Amino acid sequence: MATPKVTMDISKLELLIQKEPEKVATWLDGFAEEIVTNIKLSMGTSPPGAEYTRGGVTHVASQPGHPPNPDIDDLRSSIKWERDGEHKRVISDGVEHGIMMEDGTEHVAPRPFMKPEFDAAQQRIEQDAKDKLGLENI
Amino acid sequence: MTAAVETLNLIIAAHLRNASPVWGERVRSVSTVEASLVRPYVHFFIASELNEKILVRKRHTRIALSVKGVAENLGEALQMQGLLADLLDDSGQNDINARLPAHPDWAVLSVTQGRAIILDDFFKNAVMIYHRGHQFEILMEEK
Repeated sequence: MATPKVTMDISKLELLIQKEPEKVATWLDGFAEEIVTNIKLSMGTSPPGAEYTRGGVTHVASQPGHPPNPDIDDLRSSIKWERDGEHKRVISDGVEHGIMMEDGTEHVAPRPFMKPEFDAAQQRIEQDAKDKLGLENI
Repeated sequence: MTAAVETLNLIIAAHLRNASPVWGERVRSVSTVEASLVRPYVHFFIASELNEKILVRKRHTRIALSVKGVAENLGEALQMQGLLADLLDDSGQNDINARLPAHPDWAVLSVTQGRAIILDDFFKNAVMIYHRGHQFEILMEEK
């Protein structure tokens, strides 16, 4: 059986990190901010789901499989990115029910809001780095 | 729901159903789970789906599939997490241990285990329910 092998040339990126670490860090900040923004914007885009009233206010939930619709907005407003070292960014939410929306419980069907954007970001990060860091010109 | 997702739901359900006496036939996708379902059971759902450009002439889709065991006992939930990982990780036709059922329209090329699912579900002071599993990255190719 053949052993798969993937070779990536990251020499230009490594060179740039050595020469201009702050430029790479700033680009990462921007990319993380973009991910957070896209996650927040995805909330409220679902087709209308179940409707319920609590405290006299009616809320239309999202459909399962779509990002949650904001109700009291605690989940959406808690999503943030943080620096974890010079070239690592952590994106998280700050409420207990965030993971329940992402992975679902017995009583709440899953409404993933992080993973779809993370996967989309994975697809565009290489081109974004090339464009914004000018890797082609190094 | 796309054709790839529908196909994957069928393949995963067929592969996992009765694969262990722990859950027996109680394997449900998010659209088929019923409120009366007896624990422990296996629950799976699509967390994301993206088109993947690999070959111009063939369609490829990359899907993140969450698969978890749901049980009232932590030990049982952890056992299910391990069994599900054994059943699914590296089970695609290009993986080292291909073992998923074949389908006439789509091939599952690779299945790669990703982040763990760890969720303790304490609903309205009722019994504690444990959700344990993994997210799997799945690459599919249209035949």
